[in-house]
Order: sequence, then C-alpha cells, then structure tokens
Amino acid sequence: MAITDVAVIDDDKQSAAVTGVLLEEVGLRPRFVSPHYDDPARLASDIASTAEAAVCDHRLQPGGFASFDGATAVAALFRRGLPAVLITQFLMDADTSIRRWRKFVPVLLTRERADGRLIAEGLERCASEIRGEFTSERRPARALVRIENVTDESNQRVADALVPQWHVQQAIRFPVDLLPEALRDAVAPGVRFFAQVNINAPGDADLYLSDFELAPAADPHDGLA
Amino acid sequence: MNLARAQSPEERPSTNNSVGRVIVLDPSSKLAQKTDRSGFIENETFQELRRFGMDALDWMARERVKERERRKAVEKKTVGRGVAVARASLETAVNAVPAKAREEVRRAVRKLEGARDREIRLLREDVQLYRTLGTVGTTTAVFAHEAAKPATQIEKMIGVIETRGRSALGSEFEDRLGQPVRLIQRAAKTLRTFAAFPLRLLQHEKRRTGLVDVNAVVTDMHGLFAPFLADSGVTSDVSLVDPRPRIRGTVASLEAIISNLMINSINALNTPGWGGRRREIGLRSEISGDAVLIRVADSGPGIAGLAVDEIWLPGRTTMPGGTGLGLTIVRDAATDLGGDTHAIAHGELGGAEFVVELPLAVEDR
Repeated sequence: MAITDVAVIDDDKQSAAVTGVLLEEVGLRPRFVSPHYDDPARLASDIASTAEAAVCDHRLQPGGFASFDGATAVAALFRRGLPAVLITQFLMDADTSIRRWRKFVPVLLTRERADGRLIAEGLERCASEIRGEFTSERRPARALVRIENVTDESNQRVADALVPQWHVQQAIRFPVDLLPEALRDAVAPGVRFFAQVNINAPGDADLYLSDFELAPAADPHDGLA
Repeated sequence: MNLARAQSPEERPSTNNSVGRVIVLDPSSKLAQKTDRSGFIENETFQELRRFGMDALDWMARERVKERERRKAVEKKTVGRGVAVARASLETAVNAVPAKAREEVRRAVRKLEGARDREIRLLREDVQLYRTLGTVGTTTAVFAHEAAKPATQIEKMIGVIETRGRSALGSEFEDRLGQPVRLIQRAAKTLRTFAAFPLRLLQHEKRRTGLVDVNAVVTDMHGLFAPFLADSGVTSDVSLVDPRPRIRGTVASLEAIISNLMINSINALNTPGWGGRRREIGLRSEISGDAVLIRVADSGPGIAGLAVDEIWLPGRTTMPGGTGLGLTIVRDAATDLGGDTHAIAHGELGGAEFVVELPLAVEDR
C-alpha cells in the first residue's frame, strides 16, 4: 500500500509543524494528531483511521500529549501494522526508554538528521519489516550477553552488558525490565544470558535485545578453567 | 569494586584497603579453586558471593555518606563555638606568658589570625566560584536541550525555503536570496553546535570507566570546537600518533583535560592588548615510553607575570575575568588518571604549551 497520509505525533506544536513541512517536501500529506492519550493502543487505532503511517517524537509527556513515550507509541503502531519512524532530540534516551521498545522501532532518527527524504525512506523500511523483511542491520541472532554492571538511572534498574558478537569492548545499557520478570533477579555482574540481538547494528543506539534466557553456569570441570 | 569506586568514589575503599572480612563455610565444596591456586573459579556460587560483597560495600558507602553529611551539618553549627573556646584557651595561655614577652606573642598571634582569615576568605571565594560554576553547569544542561530544538528547526526550515525559493525563482534565487539564506544556515549551524556542546560533554556513558582511545577523544573534541575556531579566525593543527594510544579511565576525564586546555588557548589568543596576528592552536598526541603525551599549544602571548608552576593553582589566571579553574581541573583530572602535567611558557607555536602525560593502558604497553 502506498503511503500518502502520515500522522505527526509531537507534544510540541512548532516541532510538529516543522515535521509537517518536511513531509510536504517529499510529497507526503501530514495529519496532525491532537492530544491527550493514556493508551498507546487507542492512539494507534485513531491513527489507523486517518493515516497509513506516522512520524513520532519520543518525548511526548512534557507538552502533555500522552502519558507514555514515543517509543511505546511506535511499538503499538508496529503491532497494528502501521509503519512509524521515531524521532528524538535526545539520543541519551536510546539506552533506556527507547531500548525497551527498540525491537519494534525499526527506524530511529535524531531530530538533527530527520529530513523529508530520510523520513520517507524510514517509513518504507518500517513497512518492509512489518512484512517480515529485515535488513542485515536489524536481523536478530542468538547472542551471548554478559552483565558487567547493574545500577540505577532515573529511578529504574539498568544493566551495562557486553555483547561480544556485536563489540568486544563497548558495553551497552538497557533497562532490566526488558527481561522477563522471572529472570530479573538474576541480573548481576558476571551473569551471562542468551538473547536475540541484531548483532550487525551499526551503533549502540540501534541495538535491540529480546527473548532472554539464562546461560548455563560455567562448568569448573570442563578443563577450560 | 574499582569500577564502583570510580563511578561513585565517595567513602568507598579501594582494593588495597581492608574494611571487613567475609568468612565462608563451604562444607559441600561449592567454591572450586583454580588449578594454579590463584583464586576461585568464577562459578555461580562465586558470583553470588561477589555480589554479596559488592552489595555490602554499596550499602556501607551509602551509610558512610549519610553519616558524613550528618557530621558536616553538626560541625557547621558547632565550629563557631569551637573557635571561641580555642580563642579563650589561647588567651589564658598568653596571660601565663611573662609580661615582657606577652605583647610580642599577642602580635604574632594577631598576625597568624590575619593570615588564616585571608586564607579562609580565599577558600570561601573558591567554594562560591565552584558553586556558581556548578549552577551554570546544571542550568546549561537543562537549557541546552531546549536550545538545540529551535536551532535544528531553523536549519530545517531554511533548507525548505532554499528548495522552494530555487523552484519558484529559478536563476533569480541566487541574486535575491542566496546570500541571506547562506548566512542564516551558517548562523543556525553555529547555534546548534553551541547547544550540542554541553550535551555532548554530559553524556553519561562518558563517565563509565574503561579503555579510552585518546586519539578518538582528541579528534572528537577538536570537531566540537571546529566551528567556533573557524568563526574566531583560529587555524588548528591536529597531529595524532599511530598506533592509537589507549588509557584506562573515563572519556569525561580526558574531555575535561582537552576542552579546558583548548578554552585556555582560545582565551590566550583573545588576550586584550595582545596584538599577535597568527592565531594558531596545535593539538598533538605522542607516545613516550609507557605514557601518552597530549600537547596543546597556541601562538598567544605565552605565560607571563606568573610562575609556570603556579598556573595550575586554583584562582591563578593571566586572563582578565578568567575563573582560574580550567587548568586546575586539567591537573586534577590528569592526577585522577594517574598522570602528570607540565607547562611551557613559550612552546612550539610561540605561546603557552601544556603537556599532559598519562599512563598507557596496561594492555598497550
């Protein structure tokens, strides 16, 4: 289905208007969405009746647009089969609130980079992923995840971990509640998990992790110690 | 443990301090020794024991910080009374001195008190300056986020105006709107760079301890300063050693060193009354034995009116209106990384040259 009408989800009217102009530049028709939403599924449902895709700002709470963030909204749209590009001014959110939903956020653009062409291309990539066609950068693989450190950030428990198949030295951060509840207590330095990770992701902000399972403990009698 | 200490050093012991003992009874031999007896195999039981130790140290650090804050609050309230008591006992002691020498002792005491008062006044000024700079930092962090947004919007919209203008006016666009559009584009880019600056420095992952690629940080910082240097008519030369030297520490510490040295050099080139025409800054990384040397030199007036060693002291500055803290931060950050600092009054480019020597990561020696 060709994309013509694109919902613009932004808590800042000025930013929304700018995104609208950028969309017009590439022949897309912006559909501005009015606040306020408490339920991402209702937002997705409303958008489905007016547009074929969406561009969504990540921080929606400050302007009172919604009680949830943009990554949550994009994930809800993805599940409904609607392509959506997430835009953020703040890459620092990529570690936590965005990482939580990154599996369902195929395209993340910084506000600085987001122009009409990249948004349009991003929407096409989202549509492909909804159809099950992954680029190599987004295709998941089973990978070892070794927890290096567990700490608190903005009142939530976060873990720094190494995914050696992605990078042998660079630790990535993710919220501990990304793991199923039964595994969360096991998250501690030195503990290893297996997870589905897009190990060809170009950057830290592009990584997603899902389907965690506890890796078996090292066997002290396997002759490798 | 050292990682936890580096991230939050207050009231935490290092691995060289003993602060307690954990006695483990292991009747079913859940802990397995390594074959060379150099420790235990990191199995699940060992990991759990380590977690227990780290949790205990975290708890202790939190309690000790709380205790220290309580102690500080009490000390602040009682310090005045303590001084009065000490003064009274000094007076008693002076009165016990033979009358002939008493006046001389009193004069010496007054002299000492005068010197102490001056020292306290200077320390208070330092504290006030640090607080003011701290407030500038926290406020800038908040507003930088907000400032980046409209700067980006201006850039995007002027791009659209250019596209639409060229389409509507054709060849007339360049004559009528070309220059003003370019001026807005350039101004918006400068604005966005300035807004991005504090945000880049504040990225929390930069405060995590690990292996730090020195050349990458030098290049990154130079890139951040580049638009500002270009606008100020300063040419810069970056020369990086190969293979890429790495240190163990945080990106934030290294950035503090490089950015303060660069700001220091830019200020030197802007010294009022100094009429030098060449405006150059040089950044260089070198390897010397087991250390990496980072050199920042400028073509400014050099260090004058101040002993070279004193330039690192807090509050000492040769720049009118300078805080005198930049180089102190450089020295402290270098010390934290296990390194050292040197200053040359007139270096390679004619102006001051600063050399920071940091130990290479063990892996690279």
